[in-house]
Amino acid sequence: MELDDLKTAWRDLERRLEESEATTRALRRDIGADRTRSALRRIAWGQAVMAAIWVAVTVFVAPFWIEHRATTHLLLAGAALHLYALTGIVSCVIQIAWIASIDHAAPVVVLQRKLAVLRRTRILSQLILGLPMWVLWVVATMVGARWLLDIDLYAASPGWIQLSLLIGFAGIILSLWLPRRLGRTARGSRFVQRVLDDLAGRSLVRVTREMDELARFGRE
Amino acid sequence: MLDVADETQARFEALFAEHRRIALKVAGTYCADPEDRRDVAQEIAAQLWRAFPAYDESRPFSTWMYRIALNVAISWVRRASRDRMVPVDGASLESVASPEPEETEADERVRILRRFIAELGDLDRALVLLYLDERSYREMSDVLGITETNVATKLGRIKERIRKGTANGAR
Repeated sequence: MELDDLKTAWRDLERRLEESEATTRALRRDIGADRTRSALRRIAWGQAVMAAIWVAVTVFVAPFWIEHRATTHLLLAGAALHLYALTGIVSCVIQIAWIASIDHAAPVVVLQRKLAVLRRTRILSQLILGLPMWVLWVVATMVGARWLLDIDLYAASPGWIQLSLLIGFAGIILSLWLPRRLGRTARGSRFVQRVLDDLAGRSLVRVTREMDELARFGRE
Repeated sequence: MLDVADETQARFEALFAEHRRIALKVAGTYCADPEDRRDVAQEIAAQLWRAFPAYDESRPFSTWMYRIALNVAISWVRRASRDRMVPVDGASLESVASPEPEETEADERVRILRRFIAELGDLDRALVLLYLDERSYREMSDVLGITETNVATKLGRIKERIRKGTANGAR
């Protein structure tokens, strides 16, 4: 059989689709299910809100570690939070800029590549910003206690801080190891499954495969 | 007298009515399930309307429409495949490609076409759709964002695959 032989079948299929009432009706209906665009808009708004939060954290935490630069553990705690907030701002700005550059009328290979890069950036950002939360809550508590209550938690109870940090680091390792060990199941919500896929590296593998496929398609 | 918004809408509706088959064909190529097809068709229509203010009228509407329609459909297939944890395209299109008890010659032709489409990746599927729709190499290249030489090379490979597939099937 030749590809041209399928043209007759294509015209049959076209006629059948044309006769398909439901699809034709959907085309006549007004705008309502613009998911890709609205999903991107939601992401952009979410990132804008997050960027504002990170800026606020930076504004607060910078004077904190400058003021306590003579106390090593407070300086380190403040600087770690500052670095984390700056990373958050960079991640948000990159995503917002990338979304703003997306043109749905771009050639297929160009747009799909942009969407794949955005997906990869989001997965990496979530890992980079999500996993340190296991230890950053301890650091944030230290900074908060000093700022709000004037209590130096590390000086008062170094053992508790060290143990909490240790548990946090173990949590990071467990978060990376367990989803790989569990594999993929059809159980659980889409959100949970997506988080597990991100942690296990499956989402990254998938998006990398998509990008490779697009690159291959673009090559002769 | 019509205001600018009404004029834009009227122009869009006229162009869309003339080319709406493109949306139907793209949705039909990427979704076997009627409900999915309806969702994708609706999403294509919505996206076209949103993008219409940026449409450059000196360029063919069909090329612009193909780009948007294919982008929406491919994004939809990829999203659905991630969410449902199984590829939605291949399996579902295969299932609709199974023979019916009283199948006419036309039914069989469509079944073979669907089976063939189901075996293709998202991007090759777009290329075949444009080819079957008798678009020029130039337009295919413009819609997909690859060179005309690349279009010819890829179509050559797909044709070869069909020939081999038919030859193997006949054995």
